[in-house]
Amino acid sequence: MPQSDTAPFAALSADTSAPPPEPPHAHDIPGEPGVWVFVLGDMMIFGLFFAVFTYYRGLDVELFTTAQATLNQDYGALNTLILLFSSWFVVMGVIDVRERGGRLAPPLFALGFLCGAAFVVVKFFEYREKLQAGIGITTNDFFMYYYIFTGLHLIHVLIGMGVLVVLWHLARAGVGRPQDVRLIESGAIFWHMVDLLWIVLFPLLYLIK
Amino acid sequence: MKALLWHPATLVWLGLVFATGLSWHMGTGVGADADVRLLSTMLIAVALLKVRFVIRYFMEVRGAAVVLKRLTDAWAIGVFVVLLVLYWQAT
Repeated sequence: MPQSDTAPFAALSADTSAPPPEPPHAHDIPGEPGVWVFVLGDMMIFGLFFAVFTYYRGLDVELFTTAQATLNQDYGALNTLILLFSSWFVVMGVIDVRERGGRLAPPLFALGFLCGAAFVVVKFFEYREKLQAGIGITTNDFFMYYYIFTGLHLIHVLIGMGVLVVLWHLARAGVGRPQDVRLIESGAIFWHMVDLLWIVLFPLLYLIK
Repeated sequence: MKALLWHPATLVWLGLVFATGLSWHMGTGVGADADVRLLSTMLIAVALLKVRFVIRYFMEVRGAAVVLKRLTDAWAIGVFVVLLVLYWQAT
């Protein structure tokens, strides 16, 4: 329902009689097609992870709930906000490249990268806290899934940070060709997937009772 | 910069930040008498709704080909349904 997506923002337009602006990819897809094959495949795998976790949680709710209570929800929420900030910087960077010449894009991608680094730092303190308390991957089933899923996600964050470095270089060099814009869009799509996966992991691991 | 700040993606981002705060509060600030199953259902629903906004506005699927909209919607709805069924089946 694309029309309903634009409706909440219609009131923002100064001239309500003007037709709504054409979305940037009305007749194709954003980024390179190949990145979507990868992103959708990755999302399918993580979707399976979410289902596996919820299934095994159902077999021993008490253990999972007790183990979950030892997690620090503040770390999880903080990292959710950090990734949301990073996504906003990257979205603004892509829009700047495509519509405004790309002058602001390099610092925006750099800020997105710094948010990724902040996520890693928070994760480091979280892991350290758990390990110092003697809680490891073999402690119980909950923590096995916790370390595997958050660890795999962390690898995605690190790869995404590498992608953001590439975007920063591209934006600094000046984006003139359409294929450069598509490359930047592709990198941004990967980064948003990293954010998206954490948006589900956070309530699943830290919050649901 | 001002024009960037007023972009629809910024409003979506503000909504996502608000939803994160709401989930955080729901997941940590509830009393012992709260219906945890209903609460958890809401947490899963809010998460998948946030996911849809990220896909539509940040990944720019909102204006993309219909097939991509259908595929991403199918993923979000599929994950939501599977998680809810598995959660509610728990003993």
